[in-house]
Amino acid sequence: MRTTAKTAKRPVPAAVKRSQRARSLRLATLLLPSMVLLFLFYYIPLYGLSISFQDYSLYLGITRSPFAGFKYYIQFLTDPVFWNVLKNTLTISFWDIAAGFTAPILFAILVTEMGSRRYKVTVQTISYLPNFLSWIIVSMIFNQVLSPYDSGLLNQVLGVFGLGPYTYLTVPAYFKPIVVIADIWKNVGWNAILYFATMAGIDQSLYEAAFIDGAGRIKQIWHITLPGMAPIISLQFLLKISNIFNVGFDRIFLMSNAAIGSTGDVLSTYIYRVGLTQSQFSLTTAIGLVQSLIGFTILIVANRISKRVTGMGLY
Amino acid sequence: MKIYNTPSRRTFQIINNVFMLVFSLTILLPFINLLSISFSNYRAAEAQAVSLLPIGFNLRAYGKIFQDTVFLSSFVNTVWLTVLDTGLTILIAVCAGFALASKHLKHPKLVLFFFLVPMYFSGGLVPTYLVINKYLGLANSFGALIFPVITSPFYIIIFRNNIMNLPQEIIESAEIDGSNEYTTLFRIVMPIIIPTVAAFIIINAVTHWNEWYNVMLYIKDTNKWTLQYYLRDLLNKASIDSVNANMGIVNYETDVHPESFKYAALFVTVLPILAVYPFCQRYFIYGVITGAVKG
Repeated sequence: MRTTAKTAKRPVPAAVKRSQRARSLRLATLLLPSMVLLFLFYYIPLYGLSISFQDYSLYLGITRSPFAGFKYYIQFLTDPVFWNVLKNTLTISFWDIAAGFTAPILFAILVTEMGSRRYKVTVQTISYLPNFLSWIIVSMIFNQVLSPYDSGLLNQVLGVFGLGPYTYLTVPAYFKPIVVIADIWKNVGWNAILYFATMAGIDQSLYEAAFIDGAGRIKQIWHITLPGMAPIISLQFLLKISNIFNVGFDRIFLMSNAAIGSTGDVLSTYIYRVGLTQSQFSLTTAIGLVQSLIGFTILIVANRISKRVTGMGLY
Repeated sequence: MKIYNTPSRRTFQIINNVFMLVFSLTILLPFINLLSISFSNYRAAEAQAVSLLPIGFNLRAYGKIFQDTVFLSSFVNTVWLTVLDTGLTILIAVCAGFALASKHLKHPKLVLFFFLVPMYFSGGLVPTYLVINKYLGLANSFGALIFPVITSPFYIIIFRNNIMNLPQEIIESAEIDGSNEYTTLFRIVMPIIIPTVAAFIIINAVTHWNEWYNVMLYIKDTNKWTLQYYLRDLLNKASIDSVNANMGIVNYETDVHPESFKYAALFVTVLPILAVYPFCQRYFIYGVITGAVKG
């Protein structure tokens, strides 16, 4: 301790100073590419959010477009179409959480209960596959499986039981269930990976002790497995809940069709359609800003709650 | 793990095993169905008669695909873009992660903040689109498919944490031996963090292979398309085509039905993934777990 205090007081020799400067320079070059790209593709668009307070025109640009105050915020808040889009977004998000979030937890528990190890590994491997497919391919697969003719796989299966054929993808009322199910189909195996890992980390002697005390399998799961997974579950829940306004663009955009109409419109597809194809830049930027502000606020609040309850947070 | 082997336990196990079989079939059967359609002849595809086995087996759809110039250029573009984008993403992230983990970095909090903001906040679609398209002049150029997608703050933070969790003596002793930052990173640190790097190379490559959104936003020329966007175009077009085809004169012996063509294109696109993923599982799993517990 004493020696370091002494050396700190002594003036730094020029050679050391030079090598320190060279070191800073090398660290800077390592950071340079990422900082430049982030500046261009994140920070400039962040500054571009200011066009939501302008009557932005492509011709005048950000610096010269006239100031419009909250005009566009009032415009979308008083637009019934916007509220319908918001309602769709929150409905799909709700089911994504109620069904899509619990499915991997259940799946992980069920897979762990499987007797044969080889069968277990095979099911796991197959379950990861859809995660690697883009929504374009998933959407192609669903189009074919849910095809209204006798060739659609679902109708073929139902045909065995003397049912159908039915139509699915052109019925507006079916759209939301279909996209929620498609999301589960695509991600359940992959999202279960984290829970498999957590379950493997639970102290096995707890199960032995419970067994000796006469606890059945369900009691063991309820009193040992689930509490053991609680921190990870709450962390994942946090992430999910802070994204309730971001229903992924790909899934909705690629799975909807003309027959579905406005039930298939969520914030991300609405912003794309109105913003880019109808060039309503200021209006949709305003919506995007409010959306990410609310999402950020939810994240902060949910993180506080999680830290207090489970002692685990995102940061 | 010990479990009471009661009759109800055995019943549960049977139901569970059957359920898992059905679940696996919901993933496998559609693939077999689509594959069969791609191998079937015109008449069968038109009549929507194909189930799990091809009718009138032939490879004409695949032959036709590899004569399609847009498909071929999309294929070539996807390959080189995936390699380039993945390589740059990982290289940039490892470099930045190492610098952020270095204890010699000046203003570490401020620099870290610069990387954390984009993880929670972004300008959103419209401002990003305007910047890329209008102000940076990347419209309809490959640049729009490269520069905006090669910096991932998420990866940077993961590599930073990974490097910070190494025993710091390794880095310190390298410095005492006169190694500068570049040599320390590429000769000392890189070999140690290679499992994480490998995992994220594979995960990232899948992401870039599946890229289509930026093509839709920024690219006009068909010779700059990627495979996924080519498929997306087929997805929109196929139903119209099959109507048109019926109005023309069809040669049932030699023509390829649009549905067969579409699914042949689909299989060529997913084949690399299907071939690779079962063998890379442990990397994926490693990546998922590293990504989740970033702290």
